[in-house]
Amino acid sequence: MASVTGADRPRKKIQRKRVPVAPYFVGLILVLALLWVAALAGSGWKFPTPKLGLDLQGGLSMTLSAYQQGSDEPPSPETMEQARQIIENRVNSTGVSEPEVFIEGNENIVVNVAGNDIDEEALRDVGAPAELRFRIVTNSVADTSALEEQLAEQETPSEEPTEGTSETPTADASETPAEDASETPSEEAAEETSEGSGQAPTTDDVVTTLDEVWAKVGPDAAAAAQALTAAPDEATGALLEPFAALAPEEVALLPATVQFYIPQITCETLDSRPPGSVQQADIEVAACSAPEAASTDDSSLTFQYKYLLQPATVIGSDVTSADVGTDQANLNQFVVNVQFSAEGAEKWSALTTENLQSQVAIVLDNEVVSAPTIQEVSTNSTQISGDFTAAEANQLADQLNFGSLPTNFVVETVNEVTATLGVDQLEAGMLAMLFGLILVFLYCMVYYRLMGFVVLGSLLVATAVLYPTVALLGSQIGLTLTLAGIAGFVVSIGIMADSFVVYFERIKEEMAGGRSARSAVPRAWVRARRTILSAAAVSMISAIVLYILAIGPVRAFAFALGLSTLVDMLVVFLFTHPIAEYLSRGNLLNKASLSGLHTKTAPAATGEAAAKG
Amino acid sequence: MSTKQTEKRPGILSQLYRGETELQFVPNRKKFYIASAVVLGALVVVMLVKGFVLGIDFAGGVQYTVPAADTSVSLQDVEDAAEEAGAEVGSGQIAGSGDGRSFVVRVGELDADEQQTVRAAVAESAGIGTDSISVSEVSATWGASVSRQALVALVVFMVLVSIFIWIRFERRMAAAAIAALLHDLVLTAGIYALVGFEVTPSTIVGMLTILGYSLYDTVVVFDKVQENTAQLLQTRSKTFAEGVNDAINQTLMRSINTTIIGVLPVAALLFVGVGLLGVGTLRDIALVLFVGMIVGTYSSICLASPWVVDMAERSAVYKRHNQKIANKRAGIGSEGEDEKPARKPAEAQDEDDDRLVLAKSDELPLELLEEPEKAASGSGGARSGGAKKRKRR
Repeated sequence: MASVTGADRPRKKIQRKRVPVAPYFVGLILVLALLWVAALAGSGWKFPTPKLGLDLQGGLSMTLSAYQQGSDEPPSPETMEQARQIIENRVNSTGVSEPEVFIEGNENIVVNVAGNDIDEEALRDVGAPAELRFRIVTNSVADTSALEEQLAEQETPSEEPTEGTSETPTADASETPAEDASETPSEEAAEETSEGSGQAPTTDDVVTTLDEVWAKVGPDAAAAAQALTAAPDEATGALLEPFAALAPEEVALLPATVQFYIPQITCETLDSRPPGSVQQADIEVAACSAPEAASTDDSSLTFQYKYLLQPATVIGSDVTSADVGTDQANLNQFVVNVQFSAEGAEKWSALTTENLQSQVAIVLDNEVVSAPTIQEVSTNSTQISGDFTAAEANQLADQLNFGSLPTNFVVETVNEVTATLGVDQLEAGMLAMLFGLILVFLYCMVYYRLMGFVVLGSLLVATAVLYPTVALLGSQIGLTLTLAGIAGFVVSIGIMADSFVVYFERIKEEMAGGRSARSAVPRAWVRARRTILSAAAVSMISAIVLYILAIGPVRAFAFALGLSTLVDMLVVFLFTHPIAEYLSRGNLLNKASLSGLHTKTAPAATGEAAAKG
Repeated sequence: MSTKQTEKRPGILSQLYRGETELQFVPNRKKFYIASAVVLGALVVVMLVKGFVLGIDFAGGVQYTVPAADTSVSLQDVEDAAEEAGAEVGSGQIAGSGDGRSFVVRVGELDADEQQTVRAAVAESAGIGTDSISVSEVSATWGASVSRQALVALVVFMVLVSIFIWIRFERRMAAAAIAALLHDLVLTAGIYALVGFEVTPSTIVGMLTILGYSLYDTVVVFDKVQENTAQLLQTRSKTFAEGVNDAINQTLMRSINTTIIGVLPVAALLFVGVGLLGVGTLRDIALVLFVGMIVGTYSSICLASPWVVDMAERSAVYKRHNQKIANKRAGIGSEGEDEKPARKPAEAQDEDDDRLVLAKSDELPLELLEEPEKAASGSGGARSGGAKKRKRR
């Protein structure tokens, strides 16, 4: 080789290149150990399994798309998040197990429910706007059960907030705030469930008719409850204990007065009644307000008002529009202006005339979103004032416009996959992966001979890295492995193997130039590394862009590609390169028949031909 | 590795294996351009005239997957049942075989109630419970929003990748890579339309994946081109076009290997997707990828690199370089070319240009390692150092 001037310094570098390979393997083993331990820990020390997507385990996946009339603008991320939470609550209340509700792209909400027995009808409705009801408040009471729990949690650090609590809720409540009544039950209920064996043995068996509910709580409690016309005294309060153990679905069956007067039926229970429990306009219902801060110092302390409400005469469709404005008298005060339709205005005017100075509750889903007091008779429009912040006023206006969801949703796709089909698809995906690996391996064996084993080893190491990673991501951030994801992994076998091809072709090229494997391998590595990194960068860009911007199955696919690219880098740097380096020390790679890297013809000296120019 | 016209030429496979082929990709580029233009033109016509077959994701509708291990039930029975229940049957297919056999029936859009009715009817006709039927329902707007997002992703991706290639390589390569990418996309879409496969969101996934793959291949070829031509301007041994052609030849085996290795798993997907599942995600992705990967390799070799040559030869630096080589070759007297105006005065200026290029190529790590200038380009240069007729414009 032409030893040209100035080549001394670099030559040293080449010498130093002959680094020990052991650290790489130690690094690789550490990475592997770390991943596997983490994956094992993540799955509770059982063999980790990836979280399978619905198309592989069976279940129902539904995509809801936000849709705004006359506008192509996607809703704001805050709006979407708000909608997501509401939808998640609704999905939860349909009683399915472990639903997943997430935002995809900027206008889609995906609801995933595993399993086979899903009430599709109920699920479809989770995206529907709950219709608004205006109901006159007959009675209200502060429900402090949540507050007591919060206080109990806080008890150890400080006792102070207790003072503020007992004041605020009572200040406004018209009825006896039932402090004692609601205090005892929660404790006693706990006792009851722990020691009482006969009382509510089958709480998980949810009954579906009112008679069964009465039977479930027992005749005494039922009689006492039905006799209620006001908050119970202490003696009856004790009798009503069984009601604390009822499921929200069962509570929903009870008459509104019972739901309202029994302190054991907390707002928490009322809020988790099935969607539409207070939808029926022509009956009396019980519902709770949103949690309100009990003390100004500590926003984590909250309580709710429990309302008994009259049948609704004015409903959501009577409202034509609602928007936020400011009070004419006080410009810092936000108000919500509501416009009624002609028919709505008539009903509204009748309602306000009859109920001047009483509270009218605006009811959505199972919740009273606002309960302003009627100040004057109004007709085609009305103004709701209160201590609104701008955000609160906007939210109320949105709720009046859209129902509780901040925007409209339409069902875009519903995919229901039976468990059998899921298993079929999973098997097919796995089979494709196996075939892919075998085909690639065979090809590499033919082409690179012994080095084919290096390819196989690298692919196996990659699998050993990928598997716990996918399992770990599944248990930690809920990444699911879908069919598209498996396809992504299968395709990435090729992309991974390509890094090895780039590397080996380089070695071959260097050896064709007359080098021994010993000197060709480090040189080839320097060159190949650049190429591999550039190509990986392009793959990563494509994976990231697709993951962020695309919707639907594209994302799973992109994720698989991106992850594979990263793992590929890891494997090439920590396994393939060191092992090639190691093999180059022996005489193995110099044998053409074994390595597949060697060109048989004895190469002529290269230097001269080029040096002429 | 002696120069080319030596005694015995090994067979083409052996040449490929050694990266010693001397296929004239760059000199014949016009032919590739014409071929691609003709094929693209024809496929665009196909797309416009024939159009795409849209799956339910685009047309909207409901798809029932009905297990039908029981061979006494025919697809016709199931379709009739669906039709009777008020559905408009679009297509029916049999997927898989034996125990895994199932019917895939697609019907037009239905509301929730109708959907349940049809489902019950279908279940009854197939003699199974409604729970065993997988249902996939899609609104007509879904496919459109998937495609719209895909388009956004496509544009963002192209911008980012252009910037990357520009920084990593140079702007001409960025332009050529993107042009090649568009070529691949249109060609694949055209073939898709021609064959008449159904377009589903999975198809779009496949299309988007081609982006990465096609560019991946282009980047690898460019990497070699850059390496081979980095020192080109300091020597008078060959023109840029020849340097690029050598690079393509040297990386040809790798390109072929990459394609084969990339296509093998895709073929496995295709086989499993078609053979076992019949329809769905796997098949749609695999079909697009299969075509896209092959086209992607073709375009990296036959289009992207020659385009870089075209663009480079328009610049003054390379024009002068070509000129000098022509002069030199003419001076040696191997092959007389007609027009070769000697341009000595330009020499001084050239040095500046060369230095610029040199500065840029300093990033090459290997140049720091060993054997500076000549030998580096020599490893490739030796092979086809011989004179080639080069046309100048």
